[in-house]
Amino acid sequence: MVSILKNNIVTEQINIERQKVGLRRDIMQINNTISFELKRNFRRFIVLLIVYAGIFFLSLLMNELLYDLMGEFAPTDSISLMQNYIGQFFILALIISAAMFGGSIIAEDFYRQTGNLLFPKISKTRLLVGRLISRYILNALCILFFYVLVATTSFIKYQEVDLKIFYSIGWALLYSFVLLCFVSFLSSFMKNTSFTIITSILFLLIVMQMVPVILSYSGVVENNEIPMFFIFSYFGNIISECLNMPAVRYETITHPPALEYSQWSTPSEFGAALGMIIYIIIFLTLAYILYQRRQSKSE
Amino acid sequence: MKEISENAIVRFKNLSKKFGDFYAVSNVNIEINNGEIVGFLGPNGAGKSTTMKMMAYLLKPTEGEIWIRVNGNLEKLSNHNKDYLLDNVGFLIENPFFYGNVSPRMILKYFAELKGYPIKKVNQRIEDVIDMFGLSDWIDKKIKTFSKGMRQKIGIASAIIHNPDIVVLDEPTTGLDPQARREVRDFILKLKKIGKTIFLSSHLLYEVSEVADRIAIINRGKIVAFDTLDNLEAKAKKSVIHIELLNHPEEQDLNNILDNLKEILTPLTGITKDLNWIKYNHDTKTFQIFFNGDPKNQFSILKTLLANNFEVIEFSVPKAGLLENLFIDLVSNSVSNPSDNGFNKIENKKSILMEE
Repeated sequence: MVSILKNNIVTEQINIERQKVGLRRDIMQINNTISFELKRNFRRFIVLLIVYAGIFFLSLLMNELLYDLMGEFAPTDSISLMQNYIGQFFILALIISAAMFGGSIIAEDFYRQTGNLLFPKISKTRLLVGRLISRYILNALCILFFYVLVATTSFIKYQEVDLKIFYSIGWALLYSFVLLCFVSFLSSFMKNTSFTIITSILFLLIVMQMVPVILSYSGVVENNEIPMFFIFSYFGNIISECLNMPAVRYETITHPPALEYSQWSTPSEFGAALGMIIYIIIFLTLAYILYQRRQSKSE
Repeated sequence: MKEISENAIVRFKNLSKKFGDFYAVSNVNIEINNGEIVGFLGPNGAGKSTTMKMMAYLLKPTEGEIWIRVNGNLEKLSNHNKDYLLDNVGFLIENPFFYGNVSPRMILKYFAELKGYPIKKVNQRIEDVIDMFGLSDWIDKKIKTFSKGMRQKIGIASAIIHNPDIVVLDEPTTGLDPQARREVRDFILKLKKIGKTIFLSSHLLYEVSEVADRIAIINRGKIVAFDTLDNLEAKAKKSVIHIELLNHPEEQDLNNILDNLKEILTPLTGITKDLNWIKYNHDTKTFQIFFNGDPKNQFSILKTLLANNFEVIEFSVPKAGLLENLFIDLVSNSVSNPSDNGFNKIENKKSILMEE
């Protein structure tokens, strides 16, 4: 009798929960996905914390142990210290973590056929949104961890932490989302996770760095006079340059005896915000469309 | 179409799916009643998975409707109510592949919550379902350490974790060893016992005939038969007797024994002389005799065997045998239709059917 009563109560509760459709169901499933993905990616998160710590110690090594060799680039106050730490290898860490968190976001379910279990329990849209948010949270925690290390170093050395660090954090968080969206876009059509990770790292590290140099020498854009809005990695420069605003945005670099070229070192704050939002929209839209159209092996 | 039965829990009405000019599913009409197991049988490419994916709303039907009963009301599946209706259905689409670094508890919790199972009751529900599958000791172990059979069990568990009334299993035993297949079949029967309605697709006759109350046979996207196993058997009117002798025949004696059996049994099979066959299966070490399926002929054959001093230790007519013949007949008919195209030849289908 008691068990029948219990069953009836459970059935009633199930029926109540099942009435939650539409937006309420969207939010519930996205929330469930975030929670599941946070747990599932915890090990990856720990690995990336170690990567960020490694990048920090590399910067520490350069700025402290090789201090005398750095000459005019050696940090002299809190701002220059933060600029050095953030400007040196931090972008590399951002790229690695975006690739690691975003590489599997779509490709994994098709390559490993885990999508057979997920659908139709959840729609692709809700799954993608939930995954993006959860992985972005983990990525953001890694970034904050790095900034805590930098701020602590600044405090130990100069007994102060310049509050401009929060601008830098804001730009880093926005730029890391651009990177995550870009990797998600690659993940939406690439065969598997490993291939997506490797391709995105190589693309961001090599192709994106080479394009401005090639343009500069090719003469296609004379003296690089047009800001490089078409290269989204350019927006990453503002993460360190914002500590020194108003920064010199267009500079001519001379390497004696004969090498001289001009380049844009940072976008303006407005340009960076607008550009990054446009790239986020483009990458997310493309990723979403390709994801919706993509069929699993069994379909 | 006849009136909808009050007991119907799922109904496919004139369901069709067209890819370009090709009809993968054409005018399918099936009604599944509450608490029954309906087998969905057909060769690869017949339209089984397409039908199931339309039910899961992963594919939209080109024509026709799918109706699902929830809380006593039969409602038409649409984009507007798919969440609500599909909450009452549990799906296992082909072989389940899991994330290796998660435990059954973790993944089942996620699935239960996605389908709106009450959060406070989820943990108890997971433990009950896992216990039902005999995997309680493995509930917190990583799935990457599981065997294929265990993963399949977790796959079925994931289909029922939110306590749906309807369970849809698409080829649930594909790639499993015989022991694991048997276990999956037992679980399907267990699900029926606890009141679930099961829609089971397979290309293996034996698997379906072991558990299904009714069987829908699909070929080239069309339903060619939909009836109870007994009625289909009656329609088949032909079957195969499996005989095992006390002493398995030596290779050199085999032809003599086969000739002897043909001589004494051919007049008793009820089959025209040129269609008769008797053969020996080396794998199962059984003789197989094709007959008309009539119990009287079956009895005469047994009596004659005993009268001729054959030491018979097993004499059986597997149900799949009947169905197999009917299936081949039905498929042959549709293959011989010149208007159809793009499908395998019957010989290929026979080999698929014999897999079990």
